[in-house]
Amino acid sequence: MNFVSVTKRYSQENPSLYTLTVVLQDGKILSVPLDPANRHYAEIMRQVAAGELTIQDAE
Amino acid sequence: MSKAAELAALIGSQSALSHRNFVINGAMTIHQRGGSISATGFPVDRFGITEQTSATFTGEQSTTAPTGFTNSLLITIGTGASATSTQYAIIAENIEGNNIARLGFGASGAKNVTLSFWVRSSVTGTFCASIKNSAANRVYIMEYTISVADTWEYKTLTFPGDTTGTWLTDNGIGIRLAFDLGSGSGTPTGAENSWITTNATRTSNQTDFVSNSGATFYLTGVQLEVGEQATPFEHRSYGDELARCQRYYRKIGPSETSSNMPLISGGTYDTTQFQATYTCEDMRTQPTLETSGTAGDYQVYSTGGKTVTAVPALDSNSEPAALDIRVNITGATAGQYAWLRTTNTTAYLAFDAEL
Repeated sequence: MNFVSVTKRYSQENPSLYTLTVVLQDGKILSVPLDPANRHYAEIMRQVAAGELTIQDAE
Repeated sequence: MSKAAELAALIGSQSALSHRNFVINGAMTIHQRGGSISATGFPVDRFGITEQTSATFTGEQSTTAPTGFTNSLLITIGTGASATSTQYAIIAENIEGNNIARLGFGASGAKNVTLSFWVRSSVTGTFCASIKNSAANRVYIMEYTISVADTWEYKTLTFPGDTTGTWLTDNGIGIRLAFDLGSGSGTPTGAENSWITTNATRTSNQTDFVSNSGATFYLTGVQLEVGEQATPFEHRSYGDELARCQRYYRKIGPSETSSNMPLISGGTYDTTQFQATYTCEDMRTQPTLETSGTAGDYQVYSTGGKTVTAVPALDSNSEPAALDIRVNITGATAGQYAWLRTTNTTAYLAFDAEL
């Protein structure tokens, strides 16, 4: 899975919580929960652990 | 006929037994995503393509099908190229562990399973189908032969139950069912007809299908069931099959006719944010929210249209059956009923909990 970027999106009600906004190569944008059983989140974590991807903080 | 005789006849009638097939969308009738794919993805619901070679290809739902079926999954190679190194070319369905628990894999008494399917290809030769566990360290590969080009052929393969290894029986991958199309020479190979611990999807006899420019491969009627006997394909109603698929992926829109299709309703959280809750049958896990990627494809409507400044996103309160969706907007009044809608006939929302 090729991610163009992965950025944190913080909850407005609880700023300590966040989801991940993922931009794909085909232009689609995903909103990914922090759920290890979610295949996108699992792949993001795999790529982060492999040093292939960095999660950006929200602007 | 006595009631006992009727019951005996019912039990003996293979087509009367239901819930035999572990495979969802085996007849390739459900295609929520629409269109075709040219890279790794889902050409029909539940069946994923992993295609890492430099060959160009199209994966799509086809109306070419054997008698008794209306659809198939079609792979068409554009410019062929052999897989190199560790590249894979596979069609696969990941079957949820909750659904295969009754097989008893990983313990004595594990039940045999039989795979049956219809296949048609312009390339003849030896092909491989396999089942493996989630960790990919319990793998069983079987070969089948496509004998005649461009002709539907029915295949059956019986896999012995695995009495060892770890086979998930939760919402993770229970069994990964794969059809190899010519994975690279650098990918592992395994012996046919034995349980191996290597993450392989093919034997050394696998035909290099993806290297053939213009080649076609059709697949449908895929059924995996308990026992050593392939029974007639278990046709399910369209609604039943769709509901099963929606545990893993569900899509709202696009509308073919309305540019302003309503997607979800909720309210204005404040002057800059719309909030809505989408509830549904339990998905497999917390899903990803998929959008078109263009904020202008969406509009929030509440006493007039409000401009959407970023595509809809999940908030962190979501669960598999209840999703908290937020949309950044401008010009809103806090506390008003509102709904999110499309601004064209291509916009949509989708929820992805695939394995």
